[in-house]
Formats: sequence, structure tokens, C-alpha cells
Amino acid sequence: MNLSLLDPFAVAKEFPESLSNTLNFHHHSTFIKFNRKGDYLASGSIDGSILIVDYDTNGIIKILKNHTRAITSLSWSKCGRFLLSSSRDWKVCLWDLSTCEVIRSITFQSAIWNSELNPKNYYQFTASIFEDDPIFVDMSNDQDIIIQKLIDSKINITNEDKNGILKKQYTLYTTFHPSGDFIISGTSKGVINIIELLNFQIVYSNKLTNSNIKSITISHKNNKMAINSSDRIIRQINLIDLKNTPSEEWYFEVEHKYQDVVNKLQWNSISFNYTGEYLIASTFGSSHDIYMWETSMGSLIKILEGPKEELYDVDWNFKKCCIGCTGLDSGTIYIWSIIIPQKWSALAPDFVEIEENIEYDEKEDEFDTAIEEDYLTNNIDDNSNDIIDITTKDIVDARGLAIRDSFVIPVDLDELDTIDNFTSVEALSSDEEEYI
Amino acid sequence: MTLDNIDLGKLYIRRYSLDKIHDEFTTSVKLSPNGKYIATGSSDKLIKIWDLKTGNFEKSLKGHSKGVSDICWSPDSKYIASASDDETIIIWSVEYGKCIRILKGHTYHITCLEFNYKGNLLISGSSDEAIRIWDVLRGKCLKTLSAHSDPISSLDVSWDGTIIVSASFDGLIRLFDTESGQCLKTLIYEYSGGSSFPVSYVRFSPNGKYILASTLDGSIRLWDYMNNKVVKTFIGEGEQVKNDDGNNDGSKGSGLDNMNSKILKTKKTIVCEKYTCGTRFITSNEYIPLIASGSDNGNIYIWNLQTKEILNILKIKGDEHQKSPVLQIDTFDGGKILAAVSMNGNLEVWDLNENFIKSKRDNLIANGDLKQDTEDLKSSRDDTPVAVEIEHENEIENENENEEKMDIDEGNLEPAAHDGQH
Repeated sequence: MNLSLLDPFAVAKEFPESLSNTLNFHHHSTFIKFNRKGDYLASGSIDGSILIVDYDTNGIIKILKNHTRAITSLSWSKCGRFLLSSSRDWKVCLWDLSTCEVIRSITFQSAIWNSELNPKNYYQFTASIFEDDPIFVDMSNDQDIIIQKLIDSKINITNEDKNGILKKQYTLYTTFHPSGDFIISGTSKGVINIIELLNFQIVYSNKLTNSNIKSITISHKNNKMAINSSDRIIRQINLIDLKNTPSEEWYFEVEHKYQDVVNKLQWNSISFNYTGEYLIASTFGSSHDIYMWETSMGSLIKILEGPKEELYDVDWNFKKCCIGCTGLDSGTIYIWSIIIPQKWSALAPDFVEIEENIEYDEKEDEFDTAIEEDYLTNNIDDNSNDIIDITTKDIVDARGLAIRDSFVIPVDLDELDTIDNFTSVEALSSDEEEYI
Repeated sequence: MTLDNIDLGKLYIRRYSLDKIHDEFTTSVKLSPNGKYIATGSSDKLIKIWDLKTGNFEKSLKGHSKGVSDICWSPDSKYIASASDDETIIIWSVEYGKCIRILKGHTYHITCLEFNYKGNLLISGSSDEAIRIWDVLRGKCLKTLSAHSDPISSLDVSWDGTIIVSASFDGLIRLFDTESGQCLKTLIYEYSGGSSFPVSYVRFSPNGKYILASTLDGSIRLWDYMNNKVVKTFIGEGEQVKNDDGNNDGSKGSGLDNMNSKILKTKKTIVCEKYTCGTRFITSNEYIPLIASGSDNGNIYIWNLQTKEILNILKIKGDEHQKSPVLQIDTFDGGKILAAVSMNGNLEVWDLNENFIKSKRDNLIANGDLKQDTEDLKSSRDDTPVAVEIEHENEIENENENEEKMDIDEGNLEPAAHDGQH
């Protein structure tokens, strides 16, 4: 609601430009994810703990401990109450944030590359597993968890290379289409597969490149998909309306290829904004920057100057219009946001901000007493008989995003000691390491 | 015949009334969001907790070294925050009756405080002219907003927690951005000569689009803050008679005033001129939104928000000749339950009479004042989003569909989790 009172030019800005905040909790963050409403940030660390950070206070409100190795991915349910985490300790856990307990946990045969919740059902997820087939899991029933292999290893083997040598290819990344009806996966041989959830059939398959597909991201609106592969190119594809078009007619063209021709930068992580108009990518190596492209023309519009370390995982907070990023060396979380200047005219209602000086002509009767009476009567125009609606709330905010209720994680004041202990113990151990 | 004998209908039915609940002045009453308890604060340094249903005394919270001016429940009803003249705010655990946080930072009497809807931030206003935003979990002050030039008398937070509105004796109503701490807007009601009366109480409407502000000139105004406009003014009985004498506005002469103008002239009552008396919106019925306010003379006035007429006057029991001001009122469930305290320590609890509202509504329809049927009213409300830009429309529809499904899914888990909490 505050947005409608702020400077409209500042609110209309579509992307953040300045590094405004750094969050360092003595916890080496490897993966971050904002919830849909943008009021909480989940941060997974190298030691397997997950922190929930409150955007209002920039403080930790919950510590989730179950994993024993680095977190590889986090995924919020749409409602904001459930969080799915995957880790290198071979486990995938579903957390209920009202109690902060694991309600479902599955251990696989090897480390998890990534996992993602079905946007329509928080008891279902898809995951890609190290040197194994990608899977779809339905855990609605705790006693009877259904694990479905999405791509059979047989298909992997039949995928021959030019010399006729059988070569295995593994799925490195799987993600849900925002409709929740399809799973899109990328393999180590640069193949994109689209799997229909209804019957788990591959309905579309296309080889984009020869190298690993590192990650895939799909914008919430406008059906844009970006694929980050290890050949240093991000390919942008316009996904048509998958649901209402028969799969035979699917044809996806690469709209844009994003790459840094001069420095040959490798991209670490990519993220769209809500509408898919902008794409950001963090860079590998010594450049320490975040690149931002405008996706309709495919032009680079901004390089967000970073701190003095390599940036790894990026995520876009749509609602607050800010970008979060983790630092590779320190595990610090950096936040870029829009800085809105104070409107000084807000402090006094009769002040007006002007661009330049105006020569003021005093009217003949300006300081006559009659004016005062006018002023008084002007003010008593409050006797309107208009019907005032005091209960109907707005459904979109000033940026045009829907306002929705989201789960509020309960604040338990007794938990502060645990949080304090956590941060101080971590601090101590890292100090010791330096000392040694 | 006195004013007290006039039957204004029974909008509220008294459930119970308690005498002398505190040794000294009672300053505040708040109902817990879960509807189980009443908390009262007093200048005798204590906070007392009562069972809402029965009015039985439960426990008292002892710890402040000076009087308590305002109290506030956390949204989960587990904690109470109290503002005191000893310059501290204490957050209490209700279950254990223990102090669990002491927030220090204000440099003079703290006058008012409010949690945001999430319960992670606490906003306090003080006579040191500053507003502070506190991180509840860590008990630390996040921001200090210094923009007023007199004590802060009251503040409120919008339903989504993004705007803070504050009232001060400097005559200004200011709106602040919770996230940045910036002043977003200033509202001032100026009389001729540029003077303004101290503002004593502010309250956001349930949708956050209007602000109800009480000023010490005895009137309560409803502001449309986006357009800097007062849209409704609510005044006590005495004032209305003055208007009938021909100063202005014939339209307001309701039947009630004409009938009793004689009496009213001699007994000029003003809502609040001296004390900060709380106000509340009553929205439990869709057709007739109401506004309730405590007053200096021991009454609780209830206006029809749309017509501005006084619909009912509730009286606090007590000595007829020595009426004690009603400093704070609070409602539960949109006004289905109303609680009020007088300064002398009377705690009263009323229940809304649904039949009264119903008959009132039927009257309005019969008179043609309220033409719309329930359905019409509802559908007209549903139409409001038409103004929304078309490009977002589809998206929102789709999302709402999905959202609804989600809500149903979650319904299975929700109750169990709640039980665990309490």
C-alpha cells in the first residue's frame, strides 16, 4: 500500500541498481530463494543448515537443521508455508514452516543436483540426481511415497553420438513449467526434454548444444525460458502456450543467445524477473558482476557492480523488486534494491517541489482577510453523502502485481537463544580456522 | 426527561460490567486476537488479564516502575507489549506471565504502540516526539522516525504492514513507510488563521484506504489520505444542535436532533476535548459500517459511517454526576464484541445485537435509502477490479484460481498446526 504514496518514478523502475544491503550471518550461504510474496528469504548453507531471513528486520527468524552437507536447491510452495530442500547428503526434505519440522524426507542413492516443487501441489516435486535418472515424486501419503522415473536409462543409451559409440547422458536439471503440467529437463549432452506430467511421456526433445545444461529458468509470465549451459551461452527460448497447443505443433526457436564474446565468461546462475522482461546472470571467475539483459531485443542493459568476490546464486524478489546474490568465497548474501529518495514535500502538505525557481506574482487580494473565510469553507467540504467503502482491499499493488495473503511464519520469542548460539558458534569456529 | 432516558434501540447488549479493576486510572483495554482474553493497563503499573467470556480475573503482569499507557496483543495472542511512563516497553509472555523482552530507547513517556500483522515488528510512539520501529524477536530498535514536534498520541499500522500512521499533539497526521522509515504524507486540518488542533487518536480503515482521526476540537474525521480530503466528520450531540440553529448544513438534522434539541442545547456534549479516547470501525455487518468512539463524558458513541448520524450511545456504569472518560475501546471480530474501560476502572463488555442491525437495514431498504440488495452490493464490489489494467486481469484471475485450490489443500493441515501452538 505504501507504493501508491511513493515517488511514482521510483516505483516504476523495473530493476534495482544499487547494492543496498549485505547479510552476513557467519553461515556460508550457497543457495538463496525468496518466497513468492518476497517477505522471506531462505538461504541454504554449505554445512546443510537453512536459514529463514525476515525481509522486514533483515534478521534470522528460523533455523532449519536436518541436512549434513551443502544445500543444492530450495523451493518454496506457492502459499509460502512449505519449503523443499535438497542437499549433497542425498536427501530431499519438505519443511512445514509453521512448526519448522520436516514433514517428508526421502533419501536417494546419490547427491541431488536440484529439486523443485510442483507449483500446483506442494506434495509433489521433481529432482535431478547425480549419475541417475531424473524423478518425479508424489509424497501426499507419508506411508506410500510414489517415485516415478521420468527418463529411462535405456533412452539415454540409445542416444548415440556421431561415431556410433554409446554414451550415457545424465539429466542435470529439472524444473516445472509454471502451469504445473510439464517438467522440463536438461541433460549433460545439451538436450532439452519436456515431459508431460499426466502420463510421464517425453512429448518434446531437442538438442540445443553439445555441452552440459547447467540450469533452466522459466519466467512466471510471458512463457520465456532461459537455458544456461557450460558452453558459456545462455539461450532464450519462447515457450508457446504448452497447455493449449498440441505437442506436434511445438517448435521452439532460440530467440537470443547471451554471451560475453570478449571475456568468454561462464555464467553461474540465471534468473528472470516476474514478467520475463529482464534476465540476470552471475558470472564465473574474477568479474564479480551481475549482467542484466532486456529480453525482447536481447541487449545488455546493465552490469550490477558487485562486491569483491565471485557471485554465485542469484534470485529475483519480484514483489520488492530486488535481487539477491550469494558470494562464493564468504557466503555472504548481497541485496540490490531500488533506493527511493525522501519526498520532502511529504513532510508539509503545502510544500511543492519545483524543478527550477518560479517568479511569483502576488495577487491583488492575496493577503486579504476574505481569503481566510474561503479557506474555512473549502475545508468543510467533508459533508459529502458519498458511500465510503472501508472494507474492500486492493487486489493489485502499484507495480501491478497481485496482492495475496501469504503464510506468516510465527515468531517465537523463546527461540532467540538458539539463533544467537547458532550465529556465535559459527563465528567462533570460523575465527579459529583463521587463527590456525 | 434526560438524554439518558431516550431509547436509542439496543445496538449492543451488555454482557457484564466490572468495577474498580485497577487501583488507579485505567488507561487501556485490548481484546486478544483469539478472542479469549481481555488485557487492561493502568497507571498503577499493572497489566491485568481477564477471561473475555466470563470476566474472571486471570493474572496480573507486574514489572513496570511507572504507569502503563498502552498495551497491545501480538497477532498470535501469545504476547502482550506494554508502553509505560518508565520509558520502556515490555513484551510479556501471556502463558507464563513473565517479562521476556525489555525495549529501551525512548527518552520520555511512551504513549502508544502497535504490532504489525505479522507480529515481527512493533511500532511505538512516545512523548519524546519520536516513533520507533522494533525488531520484536531481537528486542532491538531498527529505526527511529523523528518528524513530529510534539508528543505522539497515537499510531496505527495498515493491514499489510507497509504504512504507519501517527497522530501528534502538533496537529499533524503523518504517514510513514515502514520499510524505509520515510515520511510519505502529512495530513493537516487547518482552521482559519492556520491553527490546528492536537490530534489524539488515529486508526486505519480495515482496507487501509481511509484514516479515522480524532482531534481535541471534539470531532472525529474520516480522511481519504490519497486525495488529502476529509470525507466524513463525526461529532457529538451538542455540536449537531449548534448546526441546526442555522450555522450550516440542514441536511444533517436527523429526527433525533429535532426531537431533543431542547435538551441538547442545555447539555452540550463533545466527544473528546481533553482525553485521548479510542475509536474503532465496526464492520461485522456489510450493510451499515459503523464507527465507535469513547468520550470524555463516559459515553461510547456509535455513528453510522455513511450518514454520520449517531446510531447508539452506550453508557459506562458509574456515578451519574461524576462521569469518567472512556479512554479506550476495543472490538473483536469486526465489532461483534465491544469492550471499553473508563478512567475510574469500569470494564464493560457488550455483544452486538444482530437483530437491531437487521431491522435497521430493513428500514433503510423500506425508505429507499439502501436500494441495493445484499447480492447487488456484493456483485458491485466484485466489479471494482475492472479499473485494473487489462493486461493484468487474466493473470490475476488465473492466479486466484490456483490460489483457491491451494487454500483448500492447506485447510487439512492448518487446524492441527494451530492446536499445537496454543
